[in-house]
Amino acid sequence: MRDIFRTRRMWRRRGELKPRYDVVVIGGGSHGLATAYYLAKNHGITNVAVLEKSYIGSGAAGRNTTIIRANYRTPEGAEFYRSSVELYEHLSLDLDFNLLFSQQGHLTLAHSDRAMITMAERAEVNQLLGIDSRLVYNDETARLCPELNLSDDVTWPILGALYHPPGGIIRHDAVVWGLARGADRRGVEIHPYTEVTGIERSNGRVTGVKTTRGEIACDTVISATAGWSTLIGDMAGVPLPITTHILQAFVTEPLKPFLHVIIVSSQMHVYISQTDRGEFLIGAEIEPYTTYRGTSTFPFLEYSARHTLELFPQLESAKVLRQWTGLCDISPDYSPILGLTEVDGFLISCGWGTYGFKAAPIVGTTLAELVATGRTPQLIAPFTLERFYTDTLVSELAAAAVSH
Amino acid sequence: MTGLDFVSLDRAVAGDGFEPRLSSPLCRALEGSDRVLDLSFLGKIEVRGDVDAINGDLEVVRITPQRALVLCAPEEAAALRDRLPGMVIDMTAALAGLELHGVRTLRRLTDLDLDALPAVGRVADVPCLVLRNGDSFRLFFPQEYGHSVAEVVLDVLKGLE
Amino acid sequence: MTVDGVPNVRVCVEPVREGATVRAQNVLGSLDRDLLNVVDRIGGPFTPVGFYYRTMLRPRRLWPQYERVLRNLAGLGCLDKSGRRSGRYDVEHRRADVLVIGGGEAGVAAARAAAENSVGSVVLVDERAAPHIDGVETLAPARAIGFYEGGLVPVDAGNVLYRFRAGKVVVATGTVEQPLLFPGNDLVGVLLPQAVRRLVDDWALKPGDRGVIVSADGAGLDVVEQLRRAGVEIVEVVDLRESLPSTLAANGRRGRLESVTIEGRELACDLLVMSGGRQPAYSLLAQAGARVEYDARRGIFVPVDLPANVEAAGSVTETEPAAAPPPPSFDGGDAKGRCFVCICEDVTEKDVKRALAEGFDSLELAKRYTTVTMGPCQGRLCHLPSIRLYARETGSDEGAIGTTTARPPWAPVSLGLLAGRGLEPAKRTAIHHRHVELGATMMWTGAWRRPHSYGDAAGEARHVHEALGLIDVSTLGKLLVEGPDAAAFLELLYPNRFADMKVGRVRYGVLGSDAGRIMDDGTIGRIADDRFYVTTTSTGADTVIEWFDWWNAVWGMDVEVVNLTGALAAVNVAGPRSRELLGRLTDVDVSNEGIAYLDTKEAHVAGVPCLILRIGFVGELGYELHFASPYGEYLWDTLLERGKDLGIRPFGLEPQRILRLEKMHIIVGQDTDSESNVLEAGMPWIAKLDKDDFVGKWALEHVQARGFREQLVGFEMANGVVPAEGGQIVLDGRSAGRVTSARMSPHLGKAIGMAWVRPQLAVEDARIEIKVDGRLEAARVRLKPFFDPKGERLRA
Repeated sequence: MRDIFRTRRMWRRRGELKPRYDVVVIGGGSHGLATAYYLAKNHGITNVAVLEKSYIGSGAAGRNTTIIRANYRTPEGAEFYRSSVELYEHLSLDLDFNLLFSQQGHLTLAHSDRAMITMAERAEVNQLLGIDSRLVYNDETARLCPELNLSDDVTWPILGALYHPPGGIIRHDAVVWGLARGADRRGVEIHPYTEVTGIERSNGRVTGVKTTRGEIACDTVISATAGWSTLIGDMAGVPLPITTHILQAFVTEPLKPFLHVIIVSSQMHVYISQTDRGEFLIGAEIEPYTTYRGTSTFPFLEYSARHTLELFPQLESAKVLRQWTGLCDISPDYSPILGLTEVDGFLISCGWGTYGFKAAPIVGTTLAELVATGRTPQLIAPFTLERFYTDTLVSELAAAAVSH
Repeated sequence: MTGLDFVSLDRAVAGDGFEPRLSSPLCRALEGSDRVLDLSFLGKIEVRGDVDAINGDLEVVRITPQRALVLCAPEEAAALRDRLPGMVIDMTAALAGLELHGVRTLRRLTDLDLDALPAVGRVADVPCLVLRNGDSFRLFFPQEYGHSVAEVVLDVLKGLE
Repeated sequence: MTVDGVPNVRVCVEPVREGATVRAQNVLGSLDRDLLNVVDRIGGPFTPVGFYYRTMLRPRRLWPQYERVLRNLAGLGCLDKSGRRSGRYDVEHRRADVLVIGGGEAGVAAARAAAENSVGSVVLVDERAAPHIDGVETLAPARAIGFYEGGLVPVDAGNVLYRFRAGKVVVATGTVEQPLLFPGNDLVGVLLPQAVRRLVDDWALKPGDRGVIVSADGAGLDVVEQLRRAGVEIVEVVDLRESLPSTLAANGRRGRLESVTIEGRELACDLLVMSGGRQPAYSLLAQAGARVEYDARRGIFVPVDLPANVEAAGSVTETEPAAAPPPPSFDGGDAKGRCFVCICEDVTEKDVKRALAEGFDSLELAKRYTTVTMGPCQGRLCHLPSIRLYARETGSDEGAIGTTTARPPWAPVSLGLLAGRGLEPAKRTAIHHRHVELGATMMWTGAWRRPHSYGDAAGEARHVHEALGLIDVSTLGKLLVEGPDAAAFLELLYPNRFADMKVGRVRYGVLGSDAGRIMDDGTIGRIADDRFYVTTTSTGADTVIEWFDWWNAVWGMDVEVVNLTGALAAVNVAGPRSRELLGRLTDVDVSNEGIAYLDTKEAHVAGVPCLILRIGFVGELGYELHFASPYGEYLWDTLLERGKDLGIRPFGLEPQRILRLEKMHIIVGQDTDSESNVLEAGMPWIAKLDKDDFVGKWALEHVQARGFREQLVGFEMANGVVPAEGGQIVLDGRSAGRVTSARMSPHLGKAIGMAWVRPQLAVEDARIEIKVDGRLEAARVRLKPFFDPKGERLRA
């Protein structure tokens, strides 16, 4: 307890770049830092540099809606995210940093019978894998969330929901900081404000990276750059089937506890949770256009407000305080692309769409294992880049072009 | 029967005990209201091709350089279909329409620039063609959204009372 | 404070309304005896910044309890759990030639000048009451929310949200007075000059008896006269431009100011007016695209490089130095009070120093760690002071540190106002109201409202087999493809063959993506040599139309595509007695020779010109009638009336699903997903791989080459249990497929369904196990339709 009054540095001051590292991780977000952390912790690989073009956690890691869950549609996806939730459950203790993981439960609402089928499918897939996930009807939904408007007097009446008790929200910045501290203490170097401008190759393998602060030699480069993945991929000569879209979110002013479960409606493109700070954190579906421009739009606020009030009319007088935008790297099947590429020594973690933050610890452990052993762990084998050439997609889309 | 008679409103035949009758998609929503006029049965003929070749004293709304909508009285539609140039499709049944008054009302329904009409945009969240004559506006929109639009229009009018 | 149930109202600026109920918030008991104070009191040393991240870690199982306590302490106002929508909000879209934001001197002058130069319409928006100006429309009280894409400036005017797009926007938002940082700066009685002006001028209140003024600019000194007039005794005036005290602190008891200590001198007072200079309110300009730059001479951030069509007026942009930059914070000597950087978020100078020492050494990181600027004032009062502090503590300068992004909205705005009237458009068929009158349960399919059933889904389904049913299928997408290249166009779009189709015939088609995935299905009728009538699924219509238009543009063929979806209503008259009914209504020959299965013909039905398509989605003899939508109610009524003696009965979507499942007809999007192709979906005859080319051909060839990974099959349950749609086929404890459709067939008396299974299970009569409510239930695979496998009923 006394420790909390002592001021201890979280991480070392940024030093000079060394001429050579064993592993260079591009991207100081949750994935990059987790990979560096587990490289050091699980495999003793500590000659690692994490390069971040801005401050750590400045990208998707600091902009997401902080939801952690495992109730995916495909067995491959559900199994993978289940491992992630398990790691998240122990991550606070592991990092000795309270990430404020609030496993308050997660309700995905169904407003049409087609959606009910999708929910049932997810519940069935999840249960086979031992994931706590089930279809609930309005009587139970009313008990789980008495504040939710379950009446028929709305545009999209609620027919049922997929209930996932272990689903939760977490303090996203704390995840970044905890991982950064853990990696730093094990010898990993974190270099904020260091942008990668090129990737050096020779005979089909990586030999180094160029940065705004000089060149580095290395054998292994891991790109964990989410919305910017295609740009980094191009530097390595690896074209990626990724498009970048923006995703928007906003918070209200802090209010006393009101909502004790996470509410998602894909029909209405809205995610609603109340953080430990009391703010309502409300996010949307990705915007349909591709862009790197991170400006927030007003229509997003309008339709999100409209949809939020359909579910929670009590929020009518709550005020929006801040809105922001993040970049999402969308893959054709809404599943991630993870692991090796055709360029030796160039590894990727991308294609996360809106699911990246949930996967940080499991991406870290599996990529670290891949780097250390040279073998792709079974858990991420379905998510290789190769699948787009072998036609073995892992579709998280229920129906053509309809995300959930 | 030849061609696309099943698309038009004016090819029905009464007799043999049959009395075909039309009903407007707006009639229920507008029941009892005298503030808007139902234009759903107004003739709306789409022309594709050389729209410059359309001649005569007609109300022609250009949609694109190669597309136009010719508005006419219902009884003129048949003759027009025969004589208009290019590909001619009777869109009378596809588009519901209404006429209403007041700039303020329109401002609450659409973000179109009311000084740059006619234009196609969204009215009450529905794709719509808007025409203006002084303080009077005509709206044409997919008939399947007709009931929704009419409800919103009446709600807006009520709000401005 | 909470006013009329609306939480977090700043009562200092909210006009008083008669009958308004005002309650204090976020206190236990009353404000004077706030029990939460205890937390504050012990909080001094007890809750340093980042406290939560380091505590309550062990034991892990107790965290939920800790968390509950944390959550209850967080937040400000309370929501009314039984609150309803007030329905009082509306949106108005506005245009103006000049939009002036801010009704202070500069704003008024700008508006007046614009009006005098007759530039067109001029609108002035002000938070309080703005004066009347000839030729200017004034909106007040109203607040610009932000500056958004395309020059959109939404304005909050209470119950109406004005969405402005202006030719020119003049931003005259003035400046925000900045507080000084010294111990005790949170005490009641420590005020900014603006608050004094409001209390004295607007409310005629005397803010205290004995006042001390500490000011870095003229604004603080300006209130001296006002205070004197209000009867406040001025104890001391410190002009920081002339003398800089080495220490400054406010002392109080029970949260109220009692004295101020300046360089060791303790002055008894109950009012302290502080002014740390004025920061231009540049947020709107920054959102509009202006750059924000540090002006070291004045110690503030100023907007520069304004975008075209945006102007700044008045003090938001003035360049004269009016203040001396005050020190980032004052040493309080041995004062006990805490020195707040951010009042909203309870962040002290010590917290900020600690964050920097811990390594949160960039502005953005420190902001997130300490939460400075993240409270309801959106950084108006703490952004600049915190940057000054970072600069001093990190030994850099404010210019190098820069600002954080000026994120919208600029002013907090309620969800109610943003939501507006909140009506979502719904599509209704021309026959919609008849269904409602007949007591149908309506449901959503995409944007459409459709009848689920008329109360007896099983009975309705059985009736179609036994007698005669009528269903509204107006929601089908309907396209006309016309032109010399029409047949060639469809040949390229679909895997099917159309070139050999005779006029008057209909064919089932499945549309594929360029990756060979199933996009949609429907029927294609050739109604003339160069004219095809194409139907699509109800929810796929818009996508298919875009798809057609896209390829038409790519290939540049001589084809026109016309969307007739809304123009036409459609009904399906189905059942063994349908021919008899149709015969009563039309002159054309309706015999099996006159209109054979998969024929199409134009004819008058009950006097209405119709396109008749003889197809059989529901598995019985049936005719789809497509006709101009305004005849919908008439034809529906006539069919029911003339078919009464034949026992005609309307049926809804649910019975139709049962009927089509008996025939193993797929529903795209339910039985298929984004990866399904026609080969694995059991429809190899669709794909004419001998055609030169069609969209997705290479992908289907690849599927054929690689072999099947899963196949869509039918199944019949052994024990009559109906599994859930989405249920799992289980093999050795793992998923080996999934149920896509399942129903009890009242006609067959069996539980039937369709499922994707591993190829080794896609064999007639293969035994599979399906998980139902946690148990495994046995089923047999069926590859042929459950009902009328030879299609004799359809061809009858």
